Amino acid sequence: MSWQAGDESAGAELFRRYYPSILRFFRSKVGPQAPDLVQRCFLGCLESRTRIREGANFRAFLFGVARNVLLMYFRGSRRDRDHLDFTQRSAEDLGASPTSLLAREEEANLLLQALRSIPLEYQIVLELYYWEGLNSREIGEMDGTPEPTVRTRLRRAKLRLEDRLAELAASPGLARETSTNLEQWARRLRDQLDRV
Amino acid sequence: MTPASADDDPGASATTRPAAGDADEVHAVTDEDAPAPAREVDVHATTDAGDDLEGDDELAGRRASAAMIGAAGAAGADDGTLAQVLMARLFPSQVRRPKLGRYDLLSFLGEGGMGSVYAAYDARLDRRVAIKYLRARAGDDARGEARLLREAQALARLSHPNIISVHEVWEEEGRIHVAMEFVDGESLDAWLREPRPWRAVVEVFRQAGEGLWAAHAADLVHRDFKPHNAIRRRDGVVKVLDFGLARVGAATEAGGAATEAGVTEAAALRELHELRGDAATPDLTKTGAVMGTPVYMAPEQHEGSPADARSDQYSFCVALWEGLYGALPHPTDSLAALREAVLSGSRIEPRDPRGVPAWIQRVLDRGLARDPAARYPTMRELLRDLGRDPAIRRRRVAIAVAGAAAAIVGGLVVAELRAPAAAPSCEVAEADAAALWGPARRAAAERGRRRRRPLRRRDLGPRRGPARSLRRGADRRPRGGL
Repeated sequence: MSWQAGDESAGAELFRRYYPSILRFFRSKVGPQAPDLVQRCFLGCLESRTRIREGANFRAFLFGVARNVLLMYFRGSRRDRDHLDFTQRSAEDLGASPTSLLAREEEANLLLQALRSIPLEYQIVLELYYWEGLNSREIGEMDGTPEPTVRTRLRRAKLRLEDRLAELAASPGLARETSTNLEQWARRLRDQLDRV
Repeated sequence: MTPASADDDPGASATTRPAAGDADEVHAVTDEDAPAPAREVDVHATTDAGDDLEGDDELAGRRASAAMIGAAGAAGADDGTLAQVLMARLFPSQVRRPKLGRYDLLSFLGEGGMGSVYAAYDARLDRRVAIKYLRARAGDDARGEARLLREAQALARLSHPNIISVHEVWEEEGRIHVAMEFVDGESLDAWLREPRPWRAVVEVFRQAGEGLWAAHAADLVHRDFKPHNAIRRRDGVVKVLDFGLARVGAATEAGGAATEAGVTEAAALRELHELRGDAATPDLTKTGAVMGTPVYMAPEQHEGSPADARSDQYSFCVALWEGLYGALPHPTDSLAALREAVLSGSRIEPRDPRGVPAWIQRVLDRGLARDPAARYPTMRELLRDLGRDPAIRRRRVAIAVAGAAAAIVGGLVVAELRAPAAAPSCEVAEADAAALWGPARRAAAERGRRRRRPLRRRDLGPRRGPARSLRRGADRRPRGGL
């Protein structure tokens, strides 16, 4: 990759392209701490860019760094950091500041609340899949997870999300509307997150 | 802020290069203890982005200089400052450091309800500063801004070792910017995350109290004192920051006076919600952009009356209570429960008294009085009582005895030398003694002087009047940091 070779203009180009995705990645999970984590993420990329394997997917690498930064942030100063299981705990359990009202439409807001209340690893894969258009193989590249495992995780994540939508929705109709048109609502939520 | 590539101006990278080292340092400081981002410079971290009440999101409310992110402005309304700062660090040959006023922005330090904080470099004075943006809000009018500027300028005139210095306040692109002293340390809430011995807590708060007192003496009210708004520098000096900014923020709300002292239910609820969050939330209590911070607010603030110096005293005591006992004096399960307790004056007995002596509890009881008139008249009296540690007093007496001996000798020598002009001699001696002993031992020296008073009167004639008034002056002088 040319950035690795020290080509800063290529690096700047990559930055421009992915900055919005990274901002969104953190915004949907930590709210006000997002800018700080965005900074850590990009500085982390700078440090580790020489470790990107030839032919590796830059986006997967970038989101891998973002994911590490996020998990490190949640581990933070917690006493139980060694036992934190991000396949069990959601952003909400982990005490991230609430982000209600980030999204303006009821369905989008419901979706955001549901995403934040499912295990963090599920939230991550769902967002990468729906928002960033990463496929299972690319998501797996992030942390070396085999593709079939990612596919299983995605399936479970979606089921869990639907359960949460049903639990959180004020009316069954709202939950149904959001689940059946998940892809569309995910896109609208993404757009609303970008606009705030 | 004008994004520009270094190519436009070959001199640019040279001018900004000295700051590069700074940038790395800043980063190191910021990342030092990971979970709490950038806590050394205050961050009014807080409310939800995009909340209707707060106006636009932290990032978003700001003007978009989206050009730098790309033609599409894909990050939406993000003002692009963060992206630009990052790009300048990542790709120095491509992107010049963004400038704000005459400062080069180095790195992002934190985000808050009232705006963002960046570390910046002042090339003219070769020093690092922290720059805080106060977000402009929808509904700001010229009067609101003028007031905001006036308040901030009053802050800039305030100079005290226990108050963060404000270097400069200016308006640019419709926002108010405040360039402040860059402090390398941690906020008191971070410092208090570990239980500290009560004496250490009292000493740290005593310094913060001195800062508050100095501000009150200049007719400035903080309005949002809490551990998060005080920084303990690495050398132990404590500095209070964001005086009056709670009001500055509130004053820019469309509602103006109506929201000034009050607390909006939604903002307060959100804070309480955050309060209940577990340890992963680094800042337990955050300022709503609109007003103060509910758990530290005085009853009169809950009632919507304007805050005064005595409200600061109340907030100070809530914070001190929390620091000493590791818990707040009021319930925080709900805003209603909090208000009820604050307004009725009931408190939760500390579950872990940590050996805090009764005389400190008495100071807290008075400072937390429901009726402002029942509190200490000023922070000065509170600090005096807070400084009355019997153990330290015993030590001071010992020092005073030694001090008295030295002062007597000094006084007599000067009196001898100045024999013809006997009148000022005593003052000279006092000044010398003060210089000799330094601020920390001033109290001891004073006691020493008191002891020798009969001797002086006999030898040098009645000097009582002037000497006394000088002392009073010295008392009022702000104490040194430690």
